[in-house]
Amino acid sequence: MRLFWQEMRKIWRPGILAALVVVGVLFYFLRPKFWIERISETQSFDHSLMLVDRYGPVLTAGVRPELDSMYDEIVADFDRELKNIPEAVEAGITDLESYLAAERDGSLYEIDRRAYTELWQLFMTVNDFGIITGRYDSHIDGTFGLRNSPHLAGYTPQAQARIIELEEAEVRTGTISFMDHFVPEYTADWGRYLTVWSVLSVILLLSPTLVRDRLRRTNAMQWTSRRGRRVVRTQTAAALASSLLLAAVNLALYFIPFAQQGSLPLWDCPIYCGSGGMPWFDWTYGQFILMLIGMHFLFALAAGGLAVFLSQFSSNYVPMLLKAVPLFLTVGLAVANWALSDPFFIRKSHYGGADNPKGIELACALLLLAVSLGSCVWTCIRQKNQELI
Amino acid sequence: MNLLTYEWRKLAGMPALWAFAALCFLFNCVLLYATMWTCRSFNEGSAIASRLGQRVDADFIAGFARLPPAETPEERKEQDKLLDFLRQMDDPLERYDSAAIRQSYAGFLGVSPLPAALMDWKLQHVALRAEHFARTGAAMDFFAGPVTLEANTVIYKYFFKALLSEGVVLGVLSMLFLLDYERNSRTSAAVCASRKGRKLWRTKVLAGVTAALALYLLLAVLSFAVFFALWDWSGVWYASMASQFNTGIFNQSDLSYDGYRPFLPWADFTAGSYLLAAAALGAALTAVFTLLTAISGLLIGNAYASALAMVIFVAGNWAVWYTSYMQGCWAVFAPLSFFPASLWDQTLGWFTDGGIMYFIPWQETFVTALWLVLGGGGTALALQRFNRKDVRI
Repeated sequence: MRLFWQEMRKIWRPGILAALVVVGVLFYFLRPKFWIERISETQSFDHSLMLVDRYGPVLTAGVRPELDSMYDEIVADFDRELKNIPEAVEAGITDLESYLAAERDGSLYEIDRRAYTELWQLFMTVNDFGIITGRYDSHIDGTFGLRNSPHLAGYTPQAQARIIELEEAEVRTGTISFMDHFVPEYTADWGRYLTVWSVLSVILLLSPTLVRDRLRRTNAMQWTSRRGRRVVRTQTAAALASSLLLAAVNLALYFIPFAQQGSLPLWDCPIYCGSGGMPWFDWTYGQFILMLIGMHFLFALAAGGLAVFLSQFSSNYVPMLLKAVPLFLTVGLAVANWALSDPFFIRKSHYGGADNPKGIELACALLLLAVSLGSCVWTCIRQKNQELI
Repeated sequence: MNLLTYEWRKLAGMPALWAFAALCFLFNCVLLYATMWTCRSFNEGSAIASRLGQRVDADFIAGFARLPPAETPEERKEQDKLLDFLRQMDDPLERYDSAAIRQSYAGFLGVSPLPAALMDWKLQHVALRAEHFARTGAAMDFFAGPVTLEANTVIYKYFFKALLSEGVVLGVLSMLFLLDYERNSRTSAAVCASRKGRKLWRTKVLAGVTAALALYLLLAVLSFAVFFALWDWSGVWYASMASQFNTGIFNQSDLSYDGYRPFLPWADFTAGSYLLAAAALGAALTAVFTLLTAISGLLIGNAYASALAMVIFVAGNWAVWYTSYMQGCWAVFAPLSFFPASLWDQTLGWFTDGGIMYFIPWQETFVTALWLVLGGGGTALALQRFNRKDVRI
């Protein structure tokens, strides 16, 4: 066990950690921050939270009539607030009807810019609530849906069956999720960027590990010790444990801004929202988040195992970097990025090809992990027959 | 020369380098394969230009009208749309009015006086270029037709940028390998005590830069060989880059100039000369990054740490530049646009006015030359410092 902790200390070098912090901060502000902050800016987000708090995760037929009176109250508030915008009053916009009329005839856009922005923000409060009720009405009456559209023929039979199943269940049960479809979409972006960063940081942390031993010619000392050639097992275990630990640290850091968006109260909402993507599985938003976290750990562990495996064949830092770059591009930017773009939703492949089969994302992650762990096992077995060079 | 050869041999003896270069070449081939749709349309346009010439005049239009109709109804519709456009086509550069653009940019940059002044000065020169192209009628060139803008975006924004990135990575890692070689082989003490002594590191720097350029050239030649095997450039070599088809004008709802931005290079570039100039600048930029790596490697003395330092420098520079652009913080954006990382980002706008991305004429050339001088000077200073330091074993 003492050897394990010594190997962990060799991996967690302060210089590399400092570099990871700097690169991590740069990466976060470049891409993830923008998409994470979009979660709470989705349409009807605030209304969804209020409705979930009041009625639970789904909108049912029994609750639907109550939303009409809530809508009337919101419109009344809108009409009242309009009186506080002098430019609107001057332009004859005194209620919702006159606002919509001004929008149609273009006179709305002639108003002072500041006043227009204020008007638009007020209107969005009404509009966003209307989206929830409009979505319910258009889906539950049975006429709207992909199953009635000629576009359905463009999907595989399995995907078509799932789409029909989802839409008919909506009509049959008379329920839809209160959550807007952009929430799981942007949450998936959060998971995707977290995973890409974890893959990169794990590769940067682990790449020099075994290379350093070779450069310092410590193999002879290690192999002639009591532990002998089995030391590579401890080193591999330490590397894999470090992958998981670093992935956990990244998750903790990324979870803070994610939680600040305030979407966690939607935990029990079904991820099928009646519009947007069609999920393969009947998950809730919370289960979806947990699956994203699981995929994140799978990819991070796979990247760590492969980084350690490749470092076996590098006598120098530069050959290791020449392997690390394609490793990151393949595992991080290609496979993980693809797998976590709308994961577990029915989606067409590029150029109109066949849909991604059910669960293909998880299968890819598990396959990658199997290759990674298999490589590590092979390394440990191979070590027994190696000559000391 | 012998020592230079030995340094190159050390590099050539690294199998990972050739494997990486092969992967880069394969990636470029995959990228080209992914652009086959655009390639097909481009080849059709190039074939038309080969037959009818580049300049859209009465003969060209008459010749185009006599071309056999396309096979499918959708293609025939596109063909008719293009014929209508050609019949109504005029030279938008004759109506170029820089006043509106200068006013617009002055509004953007108004809070930062120096960037605003530089931008205004640049736009005055852009207006002169527009006048010149209006006199030569360059905007009337057909290039490859409506697909031109998309094709050039594919070539310069994706394919060439990938090639440049690969060249830079190869250059950076080659330099790090050579600089760290003696330390890893534990021959530093022996080498430094030899007659050549620490001057060997000058040879290493030279070997690193030349190897970086050679690898870039090799990758460029092989990748462009595949490129030209797929893309037919026979009709477009002498097409002017200022052609209006190299803008978004064709896909606009009307032919008003106001809605599009002309492509106005600082010299009379044709498609062929522009490609060569871009490739040459790419080589110079590779040399810049390689020299910066030499400075990093000589100061830090550890290949992995130097690589991380380079990543932080380049990524940090690019990240702050990009963020300042998105936030409209021009006082930060303007000076950072004179760093090499921002050049890497703007491969599609090289040798042109570059919109809000560039503040002076020929900025990409100036920046590259500046950083070659800074990189060379910095390397010389780093070598001097190295000469005074104890040997690290």
